Amino acid sequence: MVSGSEEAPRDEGQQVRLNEVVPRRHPGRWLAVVLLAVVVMQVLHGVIVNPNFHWDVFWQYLFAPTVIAGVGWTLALTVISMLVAIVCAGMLVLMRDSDNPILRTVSWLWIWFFRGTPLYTQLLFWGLFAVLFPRLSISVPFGPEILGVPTDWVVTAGVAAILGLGLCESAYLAEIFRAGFRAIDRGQTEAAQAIGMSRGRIWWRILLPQALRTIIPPTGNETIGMLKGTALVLAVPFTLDLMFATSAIANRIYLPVPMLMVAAFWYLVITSVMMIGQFYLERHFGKGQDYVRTRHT
Amino acid sequence: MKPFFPNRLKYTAAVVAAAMLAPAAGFTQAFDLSGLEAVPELSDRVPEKIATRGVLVGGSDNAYAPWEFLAGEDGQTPQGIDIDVGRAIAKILGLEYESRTAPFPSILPALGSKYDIGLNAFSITNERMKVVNFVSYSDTQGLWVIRAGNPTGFDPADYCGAKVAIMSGTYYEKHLDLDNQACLDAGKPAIRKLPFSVQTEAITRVAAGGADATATGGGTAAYAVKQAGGRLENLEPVEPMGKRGLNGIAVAKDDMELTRLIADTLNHLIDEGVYAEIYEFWGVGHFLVDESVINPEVSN
Repeated sequence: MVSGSEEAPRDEGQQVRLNEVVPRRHPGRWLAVVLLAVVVMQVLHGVIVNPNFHWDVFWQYLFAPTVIAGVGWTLALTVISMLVAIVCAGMLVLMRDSDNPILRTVSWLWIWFFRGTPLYTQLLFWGLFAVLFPRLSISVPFGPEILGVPTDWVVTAGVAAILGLGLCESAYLAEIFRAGFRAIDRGQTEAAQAIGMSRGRIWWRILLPQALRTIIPPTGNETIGMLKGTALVLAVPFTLDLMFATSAIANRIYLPVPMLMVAAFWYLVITSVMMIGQFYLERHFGKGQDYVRTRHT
Repeated sequence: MKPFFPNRLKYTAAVVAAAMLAPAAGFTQAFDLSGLEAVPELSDRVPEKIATRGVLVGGSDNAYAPWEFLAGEDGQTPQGIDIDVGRAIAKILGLEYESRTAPFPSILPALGSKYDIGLNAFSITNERMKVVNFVSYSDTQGLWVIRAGNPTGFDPADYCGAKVAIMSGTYYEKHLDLDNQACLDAGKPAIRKLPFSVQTEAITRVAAGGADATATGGGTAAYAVKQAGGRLENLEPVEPMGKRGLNGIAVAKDDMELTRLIADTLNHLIDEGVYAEIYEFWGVGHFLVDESVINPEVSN
């Protein structure tokens, strides 16, 4: 519409032709959906009405007391081991970047050793720790003992499991943390130094919040991996976790498949809860930097 | 029934001396079955599925020397008493025998589908007979394995509070749980049970000092003592764990035809004397049965 100029003459019957706007058709997509639906329904049908899965046994033992206790113990093992691992990994990362060459070497050796041996082997060793070192004591070097306890009192099966899982995981987490710090541009540190911040303050206020954005997704990954890794504690042997509880029932009733599904169900439930938690954590630490998808972009 | 050896020392010595014949790792030791021929009355009864395959498949964890273990030049060939029994049965039926290594708890549920028979020194129990058929083929007794000199003062008559390694899913584990319940009922400390998925790990844990004792079948317990070169010794369990009991070949519950065939084949081997020869070859002649019985009456 141009104001103040001649309007184009219109015939009586001539209307402004509006374009007919329709959403773009995707016939291929609909075909794919139909095919997928058919396949999925076949699979579901094959599983649900299959007597070999013994679904009645599955429902019978899904909320059995030993299974629920197993879920609780597995969660406890996961949480405590990850806490141990995170604390150790934090210290290892600090040691790695310190000016002290001894600290750097110790950190490197720790990561080398705990990443270089299999977790199952480490757990076997922790199970035998009380045999290898019968007594834990503080003593004068090559002299009399000041204070000591039998190792059995300290390194029980639970403690061995937590130490085995936690220390192994700390080596992997230390590398993830290091990657998170490497992702920060060096200019950040230099700018902070230029305005006179102390090393500790730079690390805590400038570097750590930015590093966490990179660290959270792989750490969440590792936590979910640790949840399944707790099944290996039968090497110690620690017998209260979910996998052992379901295996014990399977051995009693001679039906391994429904008990495997019970274990899988509970692992899936816990993993789903963890993934939701991770989503909120990532959203918090990604504020101001993450691409937030809105409806029309 | 073979006479029961009343004297512990005589029994252990006999088993150990006889177990001297048992192989060390790396040797190929198998009973020579070249004289055996297929018997038409029996081989005609082989189910079609197995006959077309030509192989009798037995499930076993192959980690229970001297009954079955992995050895040979490549360290992967199953050998042992059960392997030779399986080969003899298969030969009579005109088949080959294959011992498939599998985790112990997975064998009984997979009979009839993955495995034709389970040949893994299974103790015959009423609970297991609800799920599978058994054909008896051995009469054994359990033994404890402890460190030489009994440093922890392990007493089979009263071991409440002791650390006991045990293999998961076995007859001995069930009895350990019963003994544990008796300890708790009497107000004594609980038995600290350390379960393992294979018997060899349980024995290793005892040898390393992480457990006071482990209990398993007599042949295996004596063989372990012999292999440990003086670091381990045997003790006799008290009743009911120490009761003599039958071991059986497991067959799928709904396949009575195959069960009868296996029993008849075993009885044929017993009558021909081949069965006794195999057991003497391996030094376990005192574990013989006079007759192979289907789903025998047992008290456990």
